[in-house]
Amino acid sequence: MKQLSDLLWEAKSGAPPMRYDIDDVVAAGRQRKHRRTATWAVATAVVVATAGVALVVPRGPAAVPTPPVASPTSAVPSAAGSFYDYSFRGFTVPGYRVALGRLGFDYSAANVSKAGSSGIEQEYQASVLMYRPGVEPRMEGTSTQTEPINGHPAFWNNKVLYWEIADNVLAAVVSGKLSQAKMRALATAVVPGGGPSARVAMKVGYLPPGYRLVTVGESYSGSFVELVPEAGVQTMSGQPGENTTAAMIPGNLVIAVTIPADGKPTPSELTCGDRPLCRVAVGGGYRLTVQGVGMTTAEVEKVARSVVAVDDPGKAATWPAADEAFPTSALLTVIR
Amino acid sequence: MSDREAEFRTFVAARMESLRGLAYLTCGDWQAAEDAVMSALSKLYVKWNRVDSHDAYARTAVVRAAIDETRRPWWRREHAHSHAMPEHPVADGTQAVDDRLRMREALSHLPARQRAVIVLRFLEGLSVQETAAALKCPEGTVKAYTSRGLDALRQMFGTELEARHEAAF
Repeated sequence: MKQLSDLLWEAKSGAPPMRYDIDDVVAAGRQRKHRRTATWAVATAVVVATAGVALVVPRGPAAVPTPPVASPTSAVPSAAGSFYDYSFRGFTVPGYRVALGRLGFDYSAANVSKAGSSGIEQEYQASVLMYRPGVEPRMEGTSTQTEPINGHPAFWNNKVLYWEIADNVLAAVVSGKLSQAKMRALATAVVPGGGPSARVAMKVGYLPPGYRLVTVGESYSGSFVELVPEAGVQTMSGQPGENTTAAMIPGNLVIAVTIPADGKPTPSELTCGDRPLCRVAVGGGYRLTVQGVGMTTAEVEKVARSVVAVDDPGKAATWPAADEAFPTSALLTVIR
Repeated sequence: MSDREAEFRTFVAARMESLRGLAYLTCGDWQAAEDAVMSALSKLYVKWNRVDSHDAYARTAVVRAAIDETRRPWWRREHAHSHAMPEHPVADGTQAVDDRLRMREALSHLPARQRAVIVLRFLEGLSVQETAAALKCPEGTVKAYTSRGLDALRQMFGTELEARHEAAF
């Protein structure tokens, strides 16, 4: 009878000579220490302060980040930018309507619907995702190489079309409706860089200490954001590409200004029930919903009372930029 | 050289080879295994003073990096898999070599995380709880992967395969 452990020991024997030695490992460690996030990292003002690096979270296009000052234990970021800028501009494809849709930890996304449709009647066709630099999404199954997109390597994996839209930047087209040829046409139209700031249909005056804005969503049905406690930011930033959404983080706080189409009540006065969830009607026939998983109802109500929705959420042009709508302490900065 | 770096070097000298074996059995490729070890140890270097158990951290980081290596899209992989697990065992008349090839072949048929569970449990001797912590998954998943993995391995090795920890499932 053979022991599995013995067979495993045997299976790893016969190794070729190692390409690296201890000096290589130490050199790699030093390099990582000085450039801790080789691809990208997210730092909040609090995190940065903890690490001993002075950095001002930018607020608007005129803001200039203070040059970081490294301490012996700190990362040395080379540049900083707003977390809340889409990584690609809006783009046009004949026959389709493209709208910026969601900005989160791993990617910016646009929603693609049929041209000529609008509002709640529009028919969703596909999503175009552009990952943050260095983020490689989790993939299962086999990848199959396909013709390059605008000269960039491309492949199919599990019916998703991926291509390297820029150096170290991956983009994807996801659709359960479109043919491969139409998905390629969408991909070909995407232009990286120069994206606008994400916008929200509200301004928020109070948040529990340590909460950070990690998701901004905008669609025909309204606006929503997700915030998580500081520890959740660490969790999400440590798992790029793992589809770790804010909903998985304990203490997740959602604020939404949306068209009430789910049959849930829309009271004219702010109403909070037994659960940590508050609702109230706002302008333009929209509803404000604030929900904090694991939070007390009193705390959620305090947040809800500090939210001021825009007069008419149906007019997206009136929405403020996300980094102007929340307390500075809740904002994230990308450090590359 | 600081005391910290001296400690780190001592640790690497003692553990790098075994970590490479652990990574190899998880990802099935020697070069990818070395890359996984390099990645994991460079992270450990940064966190050296903040990690309670250097061995546990390194083991977890190596296995996770090795699993990630199996997921890397083709366009990011180096196309140098000269030491990848062979698709078919080739017996050379030596029992040990035959076993080695058969086990590599058997492992190559398991999904990466299932392979990682088998390796952590039966090579590294971790408990279900420790394995779940290392892979950041529920204990039930570890038990299920262990069961499925052993079933698959037995299909290749027949009843001649014995797993000491089976009673713990």
